[in-house]
Amino acid sequence: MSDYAEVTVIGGGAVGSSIAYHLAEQGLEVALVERGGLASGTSGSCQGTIIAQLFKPPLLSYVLESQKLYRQLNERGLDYGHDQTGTFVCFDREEQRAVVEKHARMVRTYGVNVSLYDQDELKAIDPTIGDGILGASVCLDDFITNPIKVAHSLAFAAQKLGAKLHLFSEVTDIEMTKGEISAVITRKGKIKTGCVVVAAGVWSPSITQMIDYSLPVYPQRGQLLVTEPVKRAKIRYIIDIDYLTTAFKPDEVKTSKDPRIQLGVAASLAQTQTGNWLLGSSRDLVGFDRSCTPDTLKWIVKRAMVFLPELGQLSCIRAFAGLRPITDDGMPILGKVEEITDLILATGLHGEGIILAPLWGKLIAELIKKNHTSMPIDLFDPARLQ
Amino acid sequence: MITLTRDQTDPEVVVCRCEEITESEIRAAIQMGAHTNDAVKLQTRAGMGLCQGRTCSSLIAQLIREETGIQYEELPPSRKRIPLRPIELSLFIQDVDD
Repeated sequence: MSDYAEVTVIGGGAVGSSIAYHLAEQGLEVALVERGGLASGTSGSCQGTIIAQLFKPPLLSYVLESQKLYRQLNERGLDYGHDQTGTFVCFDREEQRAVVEKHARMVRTYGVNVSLYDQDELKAIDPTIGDGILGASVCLDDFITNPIKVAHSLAFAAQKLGAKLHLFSEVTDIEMTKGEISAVITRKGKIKTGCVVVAAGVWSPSITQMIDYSLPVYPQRGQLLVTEPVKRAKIRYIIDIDYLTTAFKPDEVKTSKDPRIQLGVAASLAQTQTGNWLLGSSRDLVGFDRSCTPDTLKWIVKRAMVFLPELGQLSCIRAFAGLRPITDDGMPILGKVEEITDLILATGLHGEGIILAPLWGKLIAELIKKNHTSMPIDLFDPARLQ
Repeated sequence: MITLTRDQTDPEVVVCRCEEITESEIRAAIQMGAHTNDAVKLQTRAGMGLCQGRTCSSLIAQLIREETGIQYEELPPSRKRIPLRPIELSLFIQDVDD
């Protein structure tokens, strides 16, 4: 069976599906190729939270733009599980107060609406908040999604616009003819194509390896626990100010004496629309190991109970781990590969894959259709990592 | 092993009772390309509930076979995770030192 597509997107997660959607919207013939089912990689093992208030420039403006695109998609009826929870960035140590206030002042200058709440104001909303919580920076514009639905809704919307979905079709080779990409070979057949976009997350290097391009993207494990579904809480997304350290300051994590920080654990607690709490977060480098570990889970639970002590009474029904695709300089990757005509990369998005998926899809479609993007992408040039 | 038989089948019969996912929803997902228990789970939530697929996984496998011809033995097993059964979160931190 030989198919044809103008553009073949490899990777059926949130980013790949968004790219397929935006390309199909532009009238291009697209094939979305995925080795398993949709969202069977990292998009199906993450929290789906879309937080802007913890970012800083240069990524902050991209995050804000992607949030805008999410809202537009939501208005258009795309069902990715938009849930307007807001974000409560909480702190439990007095020395963190200055950090929280400084960050809040900074993001305000970029148009992010944050307010500082003290302990009394938090307790007035939810009396079950931990007694040790001193305050929070609250952004009611932030929201959460169901990341599995993000991938599925975008992929099926792309299909409605003419994109072909190739599921359970693992890519085994990329064929080159006269130095240019001519086809993608999958277990289910060949797709003749002139342009390949690699959006395969931590598996992107194994794809680019097929055409001898070495891609420095590495797996960083994150573990999450799922609770039984319970009554809707008053505050449904709490994040620990220590997240600024564990997510964005790897050097501090490495030299920390705190066993919790060493495991990259900072609370990120989100109650989903179905009532289950997703408790995270953690970060460690263990290759492609997706197992859950007792130490990390203990620290996640212990830290979670500082913010919401009553969580301890809930039952855990599942724990899982996902692999964030990280890069050496902390920035994601978006752009053409100089050496290989028509190979485009859209990966290395760290813990921001779900957040940036709509924007990455839009920028890739602009790059392919017009060779010009509505926001600068030099920062994300794959060449900088070679 | 519980099986669905033709005379019991009703498109609105609930297959995943924890998440209340019906046979027709599962068949639709399989027709849209979800060809394993995990793929059906991600698309429909069937198997995500309190029993984590104990009740519905063999039924879903049967529906996959009916829709695609893929035999039970050919299906990859769904990913199994801890805990083996629901456990109270406070039990996780019993031996953590401050």
